[in-house]
Amino acid sequence: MNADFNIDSILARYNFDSSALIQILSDAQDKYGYLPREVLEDISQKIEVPLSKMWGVISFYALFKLKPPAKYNITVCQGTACHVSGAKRNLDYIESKLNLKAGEHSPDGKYSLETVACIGSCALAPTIVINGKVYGRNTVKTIDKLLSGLEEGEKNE
Amino acid sequence: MNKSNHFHYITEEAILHSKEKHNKNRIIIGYGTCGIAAGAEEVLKEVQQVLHELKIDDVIIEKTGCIGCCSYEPLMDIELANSPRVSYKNVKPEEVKEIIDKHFGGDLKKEKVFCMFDEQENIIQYQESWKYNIPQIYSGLPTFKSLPMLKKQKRITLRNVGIIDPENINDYLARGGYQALYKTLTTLSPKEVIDEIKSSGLRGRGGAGFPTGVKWEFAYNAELSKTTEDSIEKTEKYVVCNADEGDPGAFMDRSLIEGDPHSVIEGLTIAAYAIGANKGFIYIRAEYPLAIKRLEIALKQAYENHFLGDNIFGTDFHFSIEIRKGAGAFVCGEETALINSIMGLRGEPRPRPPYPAVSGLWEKPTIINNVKTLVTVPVILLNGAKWFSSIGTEDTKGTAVFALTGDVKNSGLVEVPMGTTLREIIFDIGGGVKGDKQFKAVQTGGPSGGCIPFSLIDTPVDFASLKKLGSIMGSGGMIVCSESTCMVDLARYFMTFIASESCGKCTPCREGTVRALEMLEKITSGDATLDILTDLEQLSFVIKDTALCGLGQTAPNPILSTLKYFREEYIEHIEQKVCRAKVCPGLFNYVINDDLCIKCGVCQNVCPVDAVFGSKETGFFIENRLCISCNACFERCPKKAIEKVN
Ligand SMILES: Cc1cc2nc3c(=O)[nH]c(=O)nc-3n(C[C@H](O)[C@H](O)[C@H](O)COP(=O)(O)O)c2cc1C
Ligand code: SF4
Ligand code: SF4
Ligand code: FES
Ligand code: FES
Repeated sequence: MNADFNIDSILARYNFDSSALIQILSDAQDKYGYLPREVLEDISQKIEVPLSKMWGVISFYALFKLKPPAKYNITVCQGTACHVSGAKRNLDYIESKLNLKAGEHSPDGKYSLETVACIGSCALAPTIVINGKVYGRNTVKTIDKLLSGLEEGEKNE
Repeated sequence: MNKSNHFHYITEEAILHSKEKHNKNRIIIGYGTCGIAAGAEEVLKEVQQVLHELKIDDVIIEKTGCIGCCSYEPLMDIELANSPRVSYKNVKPEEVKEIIDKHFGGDLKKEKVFCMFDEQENIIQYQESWKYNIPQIYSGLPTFKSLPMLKKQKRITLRNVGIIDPENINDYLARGGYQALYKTLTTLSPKEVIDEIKSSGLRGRGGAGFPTGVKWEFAYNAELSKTTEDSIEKTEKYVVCNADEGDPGAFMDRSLIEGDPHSVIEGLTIAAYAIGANKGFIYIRAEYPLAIKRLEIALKQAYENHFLGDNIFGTDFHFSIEIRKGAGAFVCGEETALINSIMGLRGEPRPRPPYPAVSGLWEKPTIINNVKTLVTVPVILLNGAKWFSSIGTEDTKGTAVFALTGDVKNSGLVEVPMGTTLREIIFDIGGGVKGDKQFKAVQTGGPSGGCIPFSLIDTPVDFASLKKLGSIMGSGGMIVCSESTCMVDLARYFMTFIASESCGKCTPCREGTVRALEMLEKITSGDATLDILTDLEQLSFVIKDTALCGLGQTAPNPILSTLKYFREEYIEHIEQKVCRAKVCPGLFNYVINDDLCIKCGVCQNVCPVDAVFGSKETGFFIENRLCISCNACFERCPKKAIEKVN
């Protein structure tokens, strides 16, 4: 067992209580950025929930990820307020520019593109989240700026 | 010191604290999720920088929640000692210096002023309200309450949001916080609490509008029926705050928790006392990290002050609260699904009865209430059931909280007495449609709701009247649609959402919504014939009648309401292959108007799929067969030379 994947502190937070499974998974995902198989196996043993049952839970909830995150995770809100403000067109535009469909990772691991059904900043629709930071009132112009900003950042590294 | 004296003591301290604050200079920044999205973080940094530069050091910098005027974010307020708080709107970092410099120098940057708060008002008649002396230079500034956006509002649930610092319990205490809990625990019996809530007429704000007092009574009585043979001990019970807020396009609950987290804790604790529960959960969606953080801070403070834990206020009442995060599933807002999710299972609903009030978490009596319902409870207990039931309509007492968004000028949070008309909300408070566009419809109730056309705009809002129109009150999402929203596309949008959120347990919802979506896609891509409308209608009724839970049962509402009020748009899509709103790809074209075009080539550059052909010498044209209707060229053309034509 890889020491990096030590999950005990998280499990202890919830007293190894299997009813806190979703919290445990979500804290684990916060820690690793995704849910590595080793971690899942470890949790399964320690809180005595079979992996198959855990899989049932993981596949049910949209937020759980089984792949490591890309360097830049771009989430385009597709909630109602964003939809009526052009969120679908924005997504189409980004998909074409990055040559990436929502739900995919770029092969170089640089970008992942996702959608979400509302982050609660609807008054600033349409919204886009990049690595946790929310950007509001997006247009093609702001999107171009955001994307070239990421490219710039890349070059300066 | 005994426990009750202790409470008086900390309240007095808190009030002193808040009075002292007004003797100091303060800068207050709107720091809700949308404030931050609008740039509040950058403004805050600049404020710190500028204060340092200008060598002003006697200033308290505070963050507050969402005051509900989100179109004007970032908001930066300055309050000089003993003077009214002046709010500046749409503040850019580069404007911060001039605003501060002027304001502290006894002047005002008038064109950036949003309003001033000329009085400290408190809905809970606890702390005396006071008025400020208004300096000469402030005269003529609009007051917060006189803003067109606020004039018709009545803020009960939103009483503290955007006013207090949510991370400072003293601010809450100074405005009557935890007084209701104190009164409840020290002077009222659980039955009296339930009776008060019952006679106030409060109905749940989570969507269904179930009378809150009645729900609590079920759970209260559940105990009596369970004292049989071996269970000599009291039955365990649970209370849950539903902060899942799954309706995409709504953010009332988020703003409440971000801006006034203690009121949620207080409401939930009172509910627990009323039904006899010692354990509570707040189920909150993980998409709201800031709300979760503020809630964690508030919980910690509540424990530290012994408002939670053992022997609260010296009584024998114990209560603890745990946060449970959702993980991105809309159906988990449904109460039986939510129960499964809290227990760590797949969030699938189950048939009711038994209702959770009888058999919920771990099969124990459990009540589930929406955030807004719980936040309203303390005010009712302090100001009285009579006071509350004097507000609103026959059908629904009290106020309605909406998140007003979409194509509306003033988007934000709105709280109005029930019975206010849609017109007043959208046009008087919301300022009407953004830009010079025409109003088309208003969508309420999210994926379970419907679209209401202009002809019905004078309908007063309450549970019954919106239901009569084929929509629902829902939990408060209100999305204004202009002529540039296609109603068929909107129905398709909601069906896409539902089809992907259906938990899959029952066939009508799992299969039916996918079939309905296919039909809608056929219509929006111009591949349908007229008889599809009858099929769509029929299918909708079948899903409505046979689905297992509220998600499926209400899922056809967006289709049925648009078919009812906007049938002509469906027919246009089918017969003329025309989308009048110019939204549905393929049912309109992008065309360059050569009279306006200056051959700059921007459109060709920006098009992500190379659908723009030509050159700066010959001019450009758009090959619509390649176009994906992303609108990029249309938005970026400096001369507005690109037109959308049917
Ligand atoms: C599909 C579906 C989603 C729901 N989502 C929410 C929600 O996000 N928040 C909420 O408070 N109630 C939601 N409800 C309603 C709850 O089931 C429940 O009625 C409510 O939380 C009860 O609280 P109240 O009595 O205070 O309204 C939803 C219901 C359904 C059918
Ligand atoms: S709408 Fe988008 S895809 Fe179509 S021509 Fe313009 S830029 Fe290209
Ligand atoms: S962007 Fe507008 S002005 Fe420039 S070439 Fe295209 S259509 Fe002409
Ligand atoms: S709909 Fe996009 S943030 Fe709410
Ligand atoms: S987030 Fe500040 S007013 Fe809405």
